[in-house]
Amino acid sequence: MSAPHSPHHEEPASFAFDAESEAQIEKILKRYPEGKQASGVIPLLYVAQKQMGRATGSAWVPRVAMDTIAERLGMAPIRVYEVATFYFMFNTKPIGRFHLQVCGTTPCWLRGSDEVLRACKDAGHLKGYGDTSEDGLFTMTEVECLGGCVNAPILQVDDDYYEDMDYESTVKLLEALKRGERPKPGSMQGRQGSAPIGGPETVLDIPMRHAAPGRAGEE
Amino acid sequence: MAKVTIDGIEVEVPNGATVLQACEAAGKEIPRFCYHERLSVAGNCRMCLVEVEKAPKPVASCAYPVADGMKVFTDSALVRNARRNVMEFLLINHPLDCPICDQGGECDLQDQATAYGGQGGRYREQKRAVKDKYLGPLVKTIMTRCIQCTRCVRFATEVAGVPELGATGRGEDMQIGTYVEKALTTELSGNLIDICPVGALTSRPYAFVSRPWELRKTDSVDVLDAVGAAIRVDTRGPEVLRILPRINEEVNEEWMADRGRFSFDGLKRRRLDRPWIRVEGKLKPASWQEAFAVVAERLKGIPGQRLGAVAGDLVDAESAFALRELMVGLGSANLDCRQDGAAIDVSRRDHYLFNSGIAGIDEADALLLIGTNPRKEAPVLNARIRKRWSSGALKVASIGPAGLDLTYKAEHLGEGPDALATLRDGGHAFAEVLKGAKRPMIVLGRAAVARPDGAAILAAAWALAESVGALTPEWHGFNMLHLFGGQVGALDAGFVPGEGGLDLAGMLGGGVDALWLLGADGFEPGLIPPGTFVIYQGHHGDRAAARADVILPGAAYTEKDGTYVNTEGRVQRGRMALHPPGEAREDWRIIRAAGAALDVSLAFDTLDALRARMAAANPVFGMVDGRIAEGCHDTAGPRLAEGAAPEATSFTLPITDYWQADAISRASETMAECSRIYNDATPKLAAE
Amino acid sequence: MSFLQRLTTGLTASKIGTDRFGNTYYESRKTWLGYGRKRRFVLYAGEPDPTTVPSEWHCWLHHVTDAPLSEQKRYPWQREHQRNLTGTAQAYRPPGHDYSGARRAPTAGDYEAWTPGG
Repeated sequence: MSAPHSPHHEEPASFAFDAESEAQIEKILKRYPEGKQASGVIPLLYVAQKQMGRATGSAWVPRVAMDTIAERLGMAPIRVYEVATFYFMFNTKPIGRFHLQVCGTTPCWLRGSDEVLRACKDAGHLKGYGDTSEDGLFTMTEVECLGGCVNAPILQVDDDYYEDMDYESTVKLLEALKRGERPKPGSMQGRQGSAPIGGPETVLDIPMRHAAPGRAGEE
Repeated sequence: MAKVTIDGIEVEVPNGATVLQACEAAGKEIPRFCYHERLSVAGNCRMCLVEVEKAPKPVASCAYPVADGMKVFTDSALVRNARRNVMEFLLINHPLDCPICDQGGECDLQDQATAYGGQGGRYREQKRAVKDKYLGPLVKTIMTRCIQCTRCVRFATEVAGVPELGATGRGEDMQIGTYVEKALTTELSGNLIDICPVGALTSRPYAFVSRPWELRKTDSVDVLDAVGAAIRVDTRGPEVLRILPRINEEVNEEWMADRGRFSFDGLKRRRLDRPWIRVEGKLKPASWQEAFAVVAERLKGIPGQRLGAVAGDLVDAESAFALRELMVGLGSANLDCRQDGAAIDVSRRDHYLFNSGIAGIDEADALLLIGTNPRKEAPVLNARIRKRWSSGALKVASIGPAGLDLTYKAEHLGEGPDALATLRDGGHAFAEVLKGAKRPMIVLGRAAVARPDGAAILAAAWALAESVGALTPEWHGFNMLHLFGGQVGALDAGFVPGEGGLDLAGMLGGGVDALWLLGADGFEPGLIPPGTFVIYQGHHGDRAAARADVILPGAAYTEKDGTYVNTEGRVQRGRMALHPPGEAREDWRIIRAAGAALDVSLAFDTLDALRARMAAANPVFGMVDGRIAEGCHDTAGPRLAEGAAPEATSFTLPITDYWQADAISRASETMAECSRIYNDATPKLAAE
Repeated sequence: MSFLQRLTTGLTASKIGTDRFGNTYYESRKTWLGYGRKRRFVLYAGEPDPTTVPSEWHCWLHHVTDAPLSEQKRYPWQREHQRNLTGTAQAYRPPGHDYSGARRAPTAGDYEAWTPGG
């Protein structure tokens, strides 16, 4: 994602953390020793992005939010801008209600991520990567490997991984999202985790469990 | 110490040094872009690759620490190949617009591409283009040329102390900028132009003006602040095209303040280029003979003790000394160079110098600023304080207006002189810091003593310095920070009231019938009583010229050979880079000629003779480029009249508009633009 | 033209034409020995001034073309021939010259002098 240096979108005039965010921030900042609070910039950016998602339906980080974070952590605003623009997980422009993140890295691509992309374009009425649909529901971005190659191809919607996608299941997912539903994330083919289709084939029972009916995994 | 072999040359370098430093110690040139001696190490340009024995691949020498017995090769086939390939990568996205680039001819990338690059690139795809950024009225950006060395980011963050520049985006989309469009709020922005190794950051006033090889370069000193930075004046024909800093580790390292660097266009505006005389209430152009005739006619009727002379802030020591000789010859002791009325005690030189030295800041461990904002008064010195503060070894506190942004953390102790007393009585925790410090510094702003109770404040500051143990034979911790390059020189030349002489207030209070103003624009000319015969000798028609009865056009600091003494008492020579305009002449010659017209025999006919006389009168003038750095051997403070005590009024700062603080910068359009842009953004403290 | 000149010219050369400025052009009747071709020459209307010859006749005079070119204007950008005015009162003088206003363009070395009014 390129850094928007001259915003063409509406920037909110102010930003303040709400009670829910404050509770999270308190928890986050406790992790860092005194004077090293700046380390919490990435979690705080997430908190701000989530709050924007809750409040406006578009999970992005406006500049005022970055300024607020900088002030909270005692760092220069530009240092927050640098972090926020570096990671494409942070949206510095408003996005749609649902953030469709299509993995296009080799394993997903081999397993048919092009079909997923096509389905997103068709069902979400999107022109391509980086586009936001006119109804404001979807924004699609291309992401690099999401680390779920075993269940490729992957479509990440906001924080949820939808795995083993194909054209039909992607369209179905998007239609469900349009209706306001949130289908259960995970494999679209009903796999358990990344086990083979049809169920696990190895380690079908755990011997320890029979031997010691106490706590599994304990010697 | 570690023994390292560089290309067969064995050198010893301290442990923790980098391979690059070891190579430099061995006299080997290592190409580099991102590495800069005065900035932190980034290691992102990869140009400094060298081969280290037993290392599996070339290493970036700027970020690789030396180890004992290390063998380094800087000119092996591997290294040459690595450099060539790095250069090819750097040039992938760099436009080939050297013919229209202002950096052309003095560009690190150009030079190193020639020296270390290959024959051509293999890149055939689209080059990237980057939108130019706005960084203020002084720095022009052509960001497509940027090679992302991040020197500017590190300079702004570390040296200038304004973390406003950053690298946003990632990978190919990485861009250097402020993200939010705004002018950089620093007085050191010109240095960004110097440190940028390519043509991405160039000088806006110098844009498309000249090529470096067309310029005549004259080494000189900056007089627009009291730091006395070493500068190089680049001229072509009869005009100054730019001013660049030179390296002087003792004074300015390699930085320079923006006012000194960019105000030179003021040298071409509002110049006094011919003598003027007042005829029937109106100034009329005249010849030198006519002007001297009027001076002689008017001054000869006035007794010596009714004559006065005031020297300005930018005068060279020669002209101040020459005018003093002239005044003494005319029987006058009414001399003053303290236009601000600062109660400076000249009985001893260390009463008015920055005794610790500018380089001494690097050793200081506690610093108290009294009535001064060094960021506006001496930005380069402020950067030095910041450098020491960043190392963690310096604690800073300030007495004066609250809410100053000094670019470093300074504890605010109070607004007025009462904080000094509190501090001396140990009423504040910082007193313990000062007492516990090995090398404490008390920095007294010149403006802090430019008030009615100035003498008492000077004495109080000195007493504080003494009480915290800052005055020892090894360390002199009492410092006065002056504002302009000519102020200390005039004090050293003895341009202060002589025996029974009047100071400026006395002269303005009707004590004199004739007043000779030597570049004195620092006070309101309306204060001069009507009927006083005023001679103005100077280079700019600034404030005082219109009040004058005779104007003698002098030379600005780039137009004469002059001696300037910086705030730490370092005697430095400025050199003539070009001739004064029109009929204007060097100031000491004018005074010499006036002496002849007034039948005063002045014992100098040449500049050398004048300098010899100065050195005889005050030996410091014989010590060019040096300064007496010694501790305090006599802790007796400045003289103080009985019963004088500091008042309770708060300190005010002398420079309200950094960009328009002297006659030259007030005439400069660049500085007017800066003033407009920066003063709109920041609330003005008080009217100038 | 003096009588003698008219007589000798009439005997040795034939008139080819007259240009719009009144200059008359002649060509010798015979090929000159050692010159290899017929001599072409001009008798000026007023003061002898080679720069009064317009380009159409100039090329004929210098044997560039066999016949003089038409003196009619053919293109809108063609400007009327003008003789060299150097040395006369109408000579070109740059804007900075004293005779043409003495108002030159500013150059790098210029400075703005202070005057009591401003």
